Amino acid sequence: MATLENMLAGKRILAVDDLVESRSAMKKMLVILGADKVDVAMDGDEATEYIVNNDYDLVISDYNLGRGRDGQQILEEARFTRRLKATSTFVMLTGENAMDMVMGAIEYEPDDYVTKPFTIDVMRQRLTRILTIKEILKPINESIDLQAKRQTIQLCDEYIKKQPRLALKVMRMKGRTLISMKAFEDALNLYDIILHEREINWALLGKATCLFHLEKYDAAKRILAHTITEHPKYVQCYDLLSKIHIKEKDLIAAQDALVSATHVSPKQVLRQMELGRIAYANQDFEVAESAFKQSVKLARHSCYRTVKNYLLFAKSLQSKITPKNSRDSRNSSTEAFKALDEAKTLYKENPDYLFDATIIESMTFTNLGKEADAKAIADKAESMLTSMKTPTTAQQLAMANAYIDTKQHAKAQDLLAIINSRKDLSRSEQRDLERTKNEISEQVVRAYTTEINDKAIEFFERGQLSQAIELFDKATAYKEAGLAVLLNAIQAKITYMDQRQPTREMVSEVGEHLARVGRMPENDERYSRWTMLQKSYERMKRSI
Amino acid sequence: MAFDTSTLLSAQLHDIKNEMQALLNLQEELAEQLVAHPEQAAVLGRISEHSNNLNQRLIELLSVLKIQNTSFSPTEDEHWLMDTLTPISHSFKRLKNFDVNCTFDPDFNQFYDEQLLEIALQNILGNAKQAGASSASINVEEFDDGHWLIEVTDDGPGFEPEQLQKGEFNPQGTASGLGLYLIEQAVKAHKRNGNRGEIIINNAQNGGAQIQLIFP
Repeated sequence: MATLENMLAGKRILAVDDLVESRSAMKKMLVILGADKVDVAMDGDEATEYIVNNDYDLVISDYNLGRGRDGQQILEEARFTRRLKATSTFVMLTGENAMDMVMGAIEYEPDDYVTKPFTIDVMRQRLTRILTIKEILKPINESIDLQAKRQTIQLCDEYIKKQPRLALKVMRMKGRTLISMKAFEDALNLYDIILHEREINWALLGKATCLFHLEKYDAAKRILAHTITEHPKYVQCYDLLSKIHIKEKDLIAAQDALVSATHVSPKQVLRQMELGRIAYANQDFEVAESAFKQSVKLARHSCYRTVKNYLLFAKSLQSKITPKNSRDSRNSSTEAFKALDEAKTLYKENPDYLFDATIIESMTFTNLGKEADAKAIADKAESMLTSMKTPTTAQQLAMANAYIDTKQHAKAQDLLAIINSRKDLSRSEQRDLERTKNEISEQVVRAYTTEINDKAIEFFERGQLSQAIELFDKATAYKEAGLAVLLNAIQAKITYMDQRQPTREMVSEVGEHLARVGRMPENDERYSRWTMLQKSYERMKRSI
Repeated sequence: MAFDTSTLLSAQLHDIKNEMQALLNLQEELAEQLVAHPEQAAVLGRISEHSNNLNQRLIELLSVLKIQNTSFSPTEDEHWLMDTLTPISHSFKRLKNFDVNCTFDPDFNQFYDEQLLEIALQNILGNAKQAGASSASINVEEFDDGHWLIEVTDDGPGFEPEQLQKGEFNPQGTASGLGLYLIEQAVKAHKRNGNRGEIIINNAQNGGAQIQLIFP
């Protein structure tokens, strides 16, 4: 066995601890043990920055780093982004034993845990062991880094025979590789062999994962239930359980499983995001809000940061925002605006994200009862949408909904007609379209057409017939246009043709308007006007 | 308002452990600086002994909680016995002038709760020293059905015949606090395929005490 001094010399090492004394003590300890290139970081953000900018051979991090991200998050990001290779070592310092310590991992686990308090003797012993094993298994880890999966399996098989004391560690690597190759039957066999000897939690989870992929959901659930009973803090089990419930279309149970996991491990950002999405789909806005709030906070300086966290957090808050000036509503709207502002600043280069944020901003004003502000922001969104070359259906639907919220039903109807003519609608978009259509109020559209009608009459009375006809056409384009609007449109067009000369096209339009009016009852006060217009139409028809 | 005792305990213990860690680190640092000052180094040695005792008590406290409180359930994981044992044997040698000889393969590894085994070994060796032994040897044995044992034999006067006949251990009345009761509880917390761990005490051929920690 090489000495620890030799193993540490020349290695690039990062030590992470939030307490200044522990930090310097750890550095001193490492130097005494033979290290000569040790960087120190005080929190998750600093550690991640170091890891992004340097190639470390060894990272030793405290699990609990105070308020910010924890050691597990540093590890996950470092491995996820491949900034820390499989050949590099990550040692987690924990206050409790490995499993007592909340295990937040979705996929990545440290090479080893060292329990606090520890002496230099303990650290020497553990590091020697960890680094020796890492050196022995280097060919496998190099193969993992190269993503040469078949070679990894081959090497694992060799090492299982060659290094019986490391067989379990290697079997674990093999199991993961087999799962990543979707060789679920082979992985299942491997886990069964391990479990025959001893119930090891990771092997139980591995087996359940294989059964899940093989769609044997009941068997997977039985194993998970057993594992959770034995190891209530093994949170990865809840994650898998949630996935199974989603496959079984039981979103409530999926949410419950993730809620249990977040109680044990609240700082795992991917889990919080998943919980937020499921709770939002379940319309459990309270849970969604809390999950997205955590997601925003935890992912703020990480590779998991996404605009969706901000937008969905702001959307989840909407159920609390009301025109009543309650404290809850005020706080929620403040939080929503803050999240949206942050999203707009972070993603200012992305027009799609800016549009989405603007739509939610308008929605927030609507819920606050601030109609004018809501409309002003919706107008902003409208101009953003107009400047997009190929807006998506989702964006158009969002705009249509914003129109409805800001009582611009006619505009909504126009946009919905455009969406309706799209050939690329998915089934869920079709459903959304139908739902949005039902939101449109005929009464409001009629009021809008009446408003246009009034403006058109003004033009008509001033003798500006072309402008009047243009507005009447706009008003009559809505099926909700009332009889008065139709009669006015007919009158404007007949007057226009009387002054110039009848055209086939305009006569035909008048005919269509009359058909929409239908037969007017004699007792209607507009009967005589209708009769007169009818006669004029017949006259014009004959003349062309 | 009701409070969750285990959460409170866990938070307190976390802080105590951090303080303990800081104390141990500073002592290591001071020891480096006092290499050329034997008088002060001797005082520091005594301080270190107390710190280590305190640390051991802290670990004991954690172990008791682990055994009795479901929130602190034992965790059997794969460990290398030599890694668990070396720091303990070094500290017994350095602070108590007590030799621990390991006669097993340095690469021997098995599944156990490291903290519980540490507390069991600390207690066994502490009892041996207290009974007048100057050294102990540790061996391991593995069996085909998967169970395994650790055997600790000291060179002291051995167990009293009454103790051997009684066959059960209780928390009161032992010379070293929780003693054998705690050792037994720590081993019993281990389980596999429906079997639990157990301890067997005996006197070795040399007359010293022999304790077998049997893991399922």
